[in-house]
Formats: sequence, C-alpha cells, structure tokens
Amino acid sequence: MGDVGAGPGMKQRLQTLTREVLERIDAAGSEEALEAIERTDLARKGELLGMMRGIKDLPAEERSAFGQAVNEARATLEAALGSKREAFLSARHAAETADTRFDPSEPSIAVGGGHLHPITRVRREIEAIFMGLGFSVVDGPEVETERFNFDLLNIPSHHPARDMQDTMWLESGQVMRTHTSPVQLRAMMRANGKVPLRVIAPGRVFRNEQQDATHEHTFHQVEGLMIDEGVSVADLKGVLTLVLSRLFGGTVEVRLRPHYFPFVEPGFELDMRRAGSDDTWLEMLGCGMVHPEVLKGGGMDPTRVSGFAFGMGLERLAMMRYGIEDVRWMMSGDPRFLQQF
Amino acid sequence: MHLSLNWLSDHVDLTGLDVATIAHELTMRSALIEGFVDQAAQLPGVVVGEVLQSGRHPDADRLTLNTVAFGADEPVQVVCGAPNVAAGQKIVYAPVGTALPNGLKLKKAKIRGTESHGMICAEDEIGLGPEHDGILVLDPALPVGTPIGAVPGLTDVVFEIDNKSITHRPDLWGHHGFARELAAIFGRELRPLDLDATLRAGDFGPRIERPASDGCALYAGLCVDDVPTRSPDWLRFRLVATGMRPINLLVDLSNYVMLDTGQPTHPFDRDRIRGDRIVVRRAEEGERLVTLDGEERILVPDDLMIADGEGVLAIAGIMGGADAEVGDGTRRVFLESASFDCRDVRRTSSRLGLRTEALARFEKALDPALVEVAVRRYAALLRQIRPEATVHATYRIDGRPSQPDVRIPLRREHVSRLLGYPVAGGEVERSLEVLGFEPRSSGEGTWDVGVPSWRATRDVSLPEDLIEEVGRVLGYDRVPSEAPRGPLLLAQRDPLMQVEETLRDALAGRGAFTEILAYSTIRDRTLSLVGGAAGASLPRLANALQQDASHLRPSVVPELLGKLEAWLRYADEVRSFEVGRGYRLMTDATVHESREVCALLASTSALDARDLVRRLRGVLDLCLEALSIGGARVEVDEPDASMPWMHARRSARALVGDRVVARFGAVAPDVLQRFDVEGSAGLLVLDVRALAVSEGTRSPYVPVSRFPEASIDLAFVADYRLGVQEIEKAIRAAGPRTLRRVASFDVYRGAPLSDDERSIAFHLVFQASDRTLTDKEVVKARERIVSEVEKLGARLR
Repeated sequence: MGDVGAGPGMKQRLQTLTREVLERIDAAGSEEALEAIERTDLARKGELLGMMRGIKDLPAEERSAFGQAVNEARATLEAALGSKREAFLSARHAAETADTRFDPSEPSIAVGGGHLHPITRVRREIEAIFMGLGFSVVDGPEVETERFNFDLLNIPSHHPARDMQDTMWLESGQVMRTHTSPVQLRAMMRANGKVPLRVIAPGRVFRNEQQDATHEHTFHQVEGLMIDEGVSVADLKGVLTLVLSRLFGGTVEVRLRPHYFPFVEPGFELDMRRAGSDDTWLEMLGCGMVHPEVLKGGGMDPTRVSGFAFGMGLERLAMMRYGIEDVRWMMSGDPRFLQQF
Repeated sequence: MHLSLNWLSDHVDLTGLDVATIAHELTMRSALIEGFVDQAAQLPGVVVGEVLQSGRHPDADRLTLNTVAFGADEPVQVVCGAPNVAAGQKIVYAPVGTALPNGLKLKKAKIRGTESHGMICAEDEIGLGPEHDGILVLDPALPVGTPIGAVPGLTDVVFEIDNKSITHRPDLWGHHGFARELAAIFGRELRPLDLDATLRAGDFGPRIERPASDGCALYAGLCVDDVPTRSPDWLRFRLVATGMRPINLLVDLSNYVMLDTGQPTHPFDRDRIRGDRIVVRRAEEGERLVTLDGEERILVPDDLMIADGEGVLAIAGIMGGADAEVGDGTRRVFLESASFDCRDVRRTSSRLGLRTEALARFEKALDPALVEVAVRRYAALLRQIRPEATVHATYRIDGRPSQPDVRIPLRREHVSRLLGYPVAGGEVERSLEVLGFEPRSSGEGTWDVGVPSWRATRDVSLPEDLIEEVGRVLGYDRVPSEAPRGPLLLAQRDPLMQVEETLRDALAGRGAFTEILAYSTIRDRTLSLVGGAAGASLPRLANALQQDASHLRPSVVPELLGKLEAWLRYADEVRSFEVGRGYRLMTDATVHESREVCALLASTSALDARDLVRRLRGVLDLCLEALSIGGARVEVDEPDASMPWMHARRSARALVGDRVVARFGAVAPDVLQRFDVEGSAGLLVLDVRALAVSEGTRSPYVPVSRFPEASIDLAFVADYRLGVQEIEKAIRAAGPRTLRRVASFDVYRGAPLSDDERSIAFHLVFQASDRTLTDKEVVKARERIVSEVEKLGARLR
C-alpha cells in the first residue's frame, strides 16, 4: 500500500489504521498479545512506518504536515501500548501482593563456613586490645630449657617455688614450659637492652597435674611485659584496668593483693569487678614488677629501667566469656562443642 | 595451713575486730585467706547445762538418766551413755531441735523405753575434739544457759591460708608470725613469746656429733623426764582446729611449738637412743628406717639423717623413726630442735615422695634463731601444764647459728618511683618498723635497713623486697591507676604467628573448616595406628601422668585422624584443622618444633583419591591466595617414612621456588582402616616457616582492558606421565601475548578412554589491551597451541 498515491487517501488510511491498532491494543488480553502488536504494527517495516517512506511522493507543502501526523499517530500508539502494559503489570503485582503464602522460618539454605576455637577467639580479642596500646605479639618455644623456664626467672633448683608448678620433664632434660614467662626473657634479649619494650606472648603451657572440670595439664596463657624507664605499679594498674574494661565491656575496678611469684617483686594477684558495684571480686591474673634479677638475666639494667609483667589464663577467660562449664571441652576436639563457636 | 583465732589472740590483742575484717586485711596485705570457719556458728542453740541429778537408767546398765537444767525452760530428762557423767557437772547441752556439725538433728526420743530430751555432748559431737569416750565437762563457774560460742576459749574461728601465698615467707608458718602481721596491720602490740629463761646450755643428755655440719648448722636437745599424758582440752582443741591429731602431751607440745613458732622439733624416747649419742650425718648406702607412718624407707648416701650409736633414728627434718617414737612406755624424752639445710631436706623429700609439716617449714629456710626459741617455748609450756614433769635445766646445743646480718640500702625516691605514688619518709620508716625491720637513716631520704633474722634467710635481700613490705603495709589501694603512657610503638605480630592467623581465617572462613586443639603428647595407641615407628626420634616425658601417653607428637596429623571416626558419626563430611607443633628429638638431644597448619578433609563416601587430592589442591590454593603467594608448583611426593599416614601413591607436595611449603594427599588406606574410618580422607599439611619466607610474592592485579575477551575451551587426552602442569605450561608457551589466562577446570576419567588416560579441560582467555581481537587471530593461536601440546603426547579430544 506504500505505492498508494499521496493525497487525502493516505491521510484517511492513517486515521483508520491508527483507530484499528488502538482497538487491537485495547482488546489485547495478555502481555504477549501486546508484544505481538508492537512487533507487527509498530515494526520498522510495518504499514505505519511504511507511510513515512511515502512522504517523498507528497507535494512538498504537505510533506511536513503528513510526517508530523505519522509521528503523532506513532506516539499515540506507543503511549497506548505503554499504559496497557502498565495495567497488566499492576494487575500482576496486585496478585503477588495479595499472596500471603509465605514463611521466613522455612529452613535456611546455608552458605557454609568454619569455626574458630574459643581459645583463638579470646586470644584475638586480647591481642587486638594490646596491639592498640603498642604491645607486639611475640612467641617462644614450647619445649624449654630449665634455664629459661626456671633459673633465669629467679626460680633456682631446690627452691620450693618449683613445687608451685608441677613440671612435665623430658627424658632429654628439657621441660615443657610451665608458663609463658620464659618468652619475657627471650623478648628482653632480642631487645638487647633497648626500651621501651612492650610485648605480649600468648601460647600453650603444660603442668603435670590431674585433670578435672577446672584443671587441665595443657592450657593457654597470655604473658605481658612492659619495660621502660620509670614504669611503676601505678602503670601496671592503669594498663590492666583499661585492658580488662575493654575486654569485659563497661569500666572495671581492679585491686591488687600481695602474692608470691619468684620472677616479680613485688608480686600480686589482680582481682576485678564492675566499677562501683558490690559484686564479688573475681581473681583474674597474676602480675608484678619484674624482679631485678630477671631484668639482669634479660640484659636490662635494673638501676635504669623497671617494668611490669603479668600472665593470664585463656581457658578461664573463654569459660567466663561463653559460660563453658568444664575446661576439658577445650582439648576434647569434640565437634558438638567446637561447632558452637 | 590453718590459723586459730584463739591462738593468735594469745600473741596480739584483737578485741574489737570482726573476723571478716581480719580475714580481709590479711588477704589484702599478707597472704590469701581462703576462708574461715566459726565453730560457734555451727552450734546454734547449744548451751551450757548443769547435771542436777544423775542416776542409773532403769532398763540399761550402761546408760544414765539425768536431769539437766539449761536456762530458759524447765530442767529436762536426758539419757546419756557416757561413763563420766555426774551430778553437779557443767556440760555442753544440745536441746531438742538443734542440729550438730556432724549432721545429727536432735529430736525427742525414747531410749530403752525412757524419754530423752536433747543430748549431753562429747567433744567430737560438737566438732572441737577427736574423742568420744566421755562427755565434755566444762568449768563449774560457767552460768547455766550460756551459749556455747560465748564460753571463753572453747570454740574457735579457724582461718584457712593458701599455702602458695606464703611459700616465700619462712616467718609465716606459725601463729606468732601471723600475729606479727596482724599487729602491724592493725597497729597493735605483738606480745613476746613466753620462753623459759632459766635453761642453760651445757653438757647434760646425749652427746651431739655433727659430721654433716654442712647440712645442719645447729642442733639442740632438751631432756625431759615424764610419762605420756593426755593434753589439756584447750591444747588438744587447738591442734584439732589447725589440722593435727592429738596424741599425748609430750608429742602434742612438739607440734604445738611448731604451729606456734614455725620451728619443727622432734621428741625421741630417750631410752631408745643407743649409746647416749646423737649423730647428724649423711646416710650410708642401703641404710634403712621404718618411719612413724610405718613405711620402710631406704636411704641413699646424700640423705641427711639423725643416728644414735648404732643406727638411724630419723630422716633429718622430715620424719622420725618408729623405733624411738614416744609412746606409752616412754619415761624420758629427748627433744630435738635443729637447723637443717633447706636444700638437703627438700632433695630427700622429693626423692622419697614424702612431704610432712616439718619439711614444709624446713624447706623455706627457717630463721636459725628459732632453734633455741623452740626449746625454751617447749620447756615453758610443759612446766606450765605439767609441773610434775622434770625439765632438765641444762640442754645440749652444738653448732653456731649462722646469723646473717643483712642490711639493705633504701632510697625514698626508689620507693615512690616503683610504687607509683609519693611515699613520705615517715611512712617508709613506720611500715618497716612495725614488721621488725630496723631502718637507720643514712642521709636525706635514705636508709640502711637492718633485716630481722626471721626474714633474712632468703626472703628479703633487695631494696625491691623492702619496697614490697612498705607497699603492702600502706595498702595497695593507695596505688593510683596511671593511664597508659609511653612513646607510640608500632605493634607487630611475630611473622610465624601472623601466617598462622591468616591461615586460620582462610580455613575457618571460606574453607569452612573447624579449628580443633589437641594435646602435645600422643597416646601410644594413636602412634601405632598412624604407623609411627614406636617413636624412636620422639621426645619422651620422664614423668608422664599417663604411662600410655608419654611421647610428644611428631605432627598434629595423628590426633586429627584419631578424632575422625567420632566426627564422621555426626556428619557425612568432615573439615577440621589444627594449628600446632610437632616435636622431634635431634641427635644433639635438642628438640625441634615444627610449625604446622594441618587440614583434614574427609567424607563417608568413597571418593577417588585423585579427586580428593583435587579438593585439597583447592584448599591449598585458598591458603596460598590468603598469603598472597604466587608461582607455587606441585609435584608427586615419594613415600616418606616420617609421614606413614600419607598414601604412598596419592601424595604430593607444593613448592615455591625450591622450598616445600606444603604436603598433601590421601590418607593411607591401611591407616584409615586401623582408625575404623569408612570412606575417604585427605590431609593438607602446611609448613608455616616455609610459608612465612614465601609470603607476599604474588601481585594479583592486571590492568583491566576495555576491549572484549575471546575465550575457547580445549580438552586434551593425556596419560598420567604427562602432568596437567606441563600441558598448561606448554599452552602458555605456545600462546600469543594476548593469551591472558589459562586454567584447567575439569578432569574426565572413564570410557571411552583407557585406564591410563584422562581428559583435561582447559579454559583459555585471549584479550588485547589495545584492540579487539579478530576471529582469525584466535583460530590461529588455537591451532598453534594444539599442535604444540600434541607434540608432548596429548591429543585433542
């Protein structure tokens, strides 16, 4: 029909065609039907757009008006298509919105993931707090020499203090370290007399004792050491108050009780409770001012520098944190325990 | 150790102080009080009663029928079985309704047909003494109805001391020492011990010889002529309260003096000392002695012992022999009080595994001045309690108390600097003086401090020791809390620990593995199940708690495998890992600690071991990626005797450069079978040390090109002699510069391929950074790649 001559016939055909297509759009019963209309009637090779190609046959003065009329017709049809499509969409949404068959508590589809041991978790919390205060994390061997585990820590042989820690001895003469304190010495020796020295040393320690709900022969400690000129008991109290406050949330209050550890002088047990509360005091850790003999053994000059040291048990912290009732779970390797963390 | 409040009150006036305050202040300034028991609080309702009448029970020969007045109510009728009850006595009466410490709750009862209300108590029934032979008879002057807790000196408060908190304090192993602390804490006066001043050193009694004077600096002996008698109630009750068993006065006094002064003494039956000689010497090989506990002890040449003219009497400072024990037949006693070397007694005690109250004190290095104090204290108490006993006024003493004269210089500035707050000079002086130290001013804010003999043996030798004394007397609550200060420091983590942390995150995160911790020791059974060679090169514990777990583990692997069977009961697939150390005994007797991260991947289904290894490779890739390590290659691992748990033909290792960073592979089938595991399991063991030095060699970023990618997939069939790694290498070599990525992504085994062959699929991506590639370029590259790979013996599928 593209070859139909120009003139009133074309204009009329345009009107008829527009009306017919509008009716089809109006009658369309589905989105697919709408798409079919779009594909045929509004196609580049369809009749409507074919009329555009006929413009060149029109007299010059009519061309512009006819072109405009075709464009308007096309816009009209597209608008009609659009609003019809909208109607379909909202009908569909209305149906979806009305659908109440839904339960978010149906079984989740797991993404999977592993579990870190609770000891790892509390150790990391402590490390993060101390690293924020400029304490580096250092390490030492688990099999120690008598010299590092005892002698250099001011625990000479035949001293009753050796009884305080039942020791696992190796046939080859070494000891399974009874505490992380030997790492203090290794850190001091590495520092080569240089201060300030601020380190913590987490690790596995061993005692030759029978197990029960609160005793393990293999457990974990974090040792801490701060050495500088003029470090005092007040610094010890300040740093540990801050660390425990961060660890347990809120502000905690600490108190020092005299206690004997051969490698510190004076030595303390540190108790803690929520600041301003009447809670019972919880025994948290052992600490004290590094003994001059230990400083000397680590290559430090006790007339020039002083320091504090502390050691705390990670098992106890993890048990407090998670409400674990029996320390033997820690080394049990039981998935029913481990996969809760 | 236990402390009696009545006993402490002999030495220091504690009136006006409640028990909780005493316990708290001791804990905060001296030693940990673990708790206290108020005996009176356990006897509510129990009162002083009076036996008004006492007569035979009508129906029982051994019972008496008594009328007892006890204050409030009318007198009641009480049936009693004790032989010593008599009219007119003041007794301990427990009325109906009271409960006794032994759990007995008193009800109205009929005993042999006669009504009985309440009970007349024996000392054991109210928890004060050990005896049940008769009722406890009280002072007749006591008013009827007095609550038993209000009877002076009868009930006690017993404090329990944590012994670990006094390990370093030889002076705190007796009541007088603790009384000194209380006097200092509460600003009261310490009463001096009541000592017999009439005794004179001389030559009466057995002769003392000390060939082992190095182990015994001083030895004294007191002679007493007396027979064993029952100790008075107050003394027996104090011994019971503090954990000792009363025996007879001569023995009880020895114990009493020890608990009072801290100095152990030992009473010998003097008539059993042969040859009237006491010899302190080292034992000879094979000498033996039956000790008081009835055990035969065999001595070795280093042991310090007490002998007479013929043989062993006692193990010095630890326990006496049964032969010369003071018993019913004893008529004369020789009381030993000596200063033994703390190292000697400790060594013998640990060798024999025999710890006694005496040893616990001697090993603390006691004040040698106490040797004489104990003798004089024993004499004074005996004279006071049993005037009829003969205490010989002359006693033997041999040796010289090596009284160390310890003086320590102290500066006020040092005290303030270490404690962290300004301490006044007067405070320093007073704190030291109340504890018996003698601070002598040696200038402005400096002192020369004399240490009292009871602290000078080992305990106090440095200025810091004195500062502790000042600090605790003033109270540690005076120490302020100083906000953290000091220069900024870059906190770093030990490089090996950092690798471990990164791997923990990778494995527990994307890897979905569960972290476990296992013991460093390994059970013999586990060791044999993994095929370990009986631990020839494994370090071994000399004093293992469990004999069947005495070796240190060679690797973290065995215990992961040991737990596998249990894990597979809860899940079809197991992913567990441990970060830990394995131990090896080196030829020079040092111990090498390996640093391992070991992941175990297991399944109840029987996977082809080659596919299991592919999964482990995935875990390996994940770990290497987390550590930013690139350029790792893998190769077949030869069977290794040190890892018998690895499959002989399905194990591999990963290398970065020439360094092996990981070993991985299927678990040997026989090992799995021995562990009762059905299914399949594989292990990846990462070497933390090797990874730490390889860390960070990968640069992950390649600039993104704006031009489109072209990709092709190629599958080659090759037998197992040609590794995927080599094919991949050949593809890269043959490809043009526009070949951006090569990745193998699938393996196919099975028909129609032969058993020796498999098909490997590769994904190749081409891309140029400056133009769009043409189809022709890609086709040309593909042809070249295929022909090069086919030269290696593979064929395009």
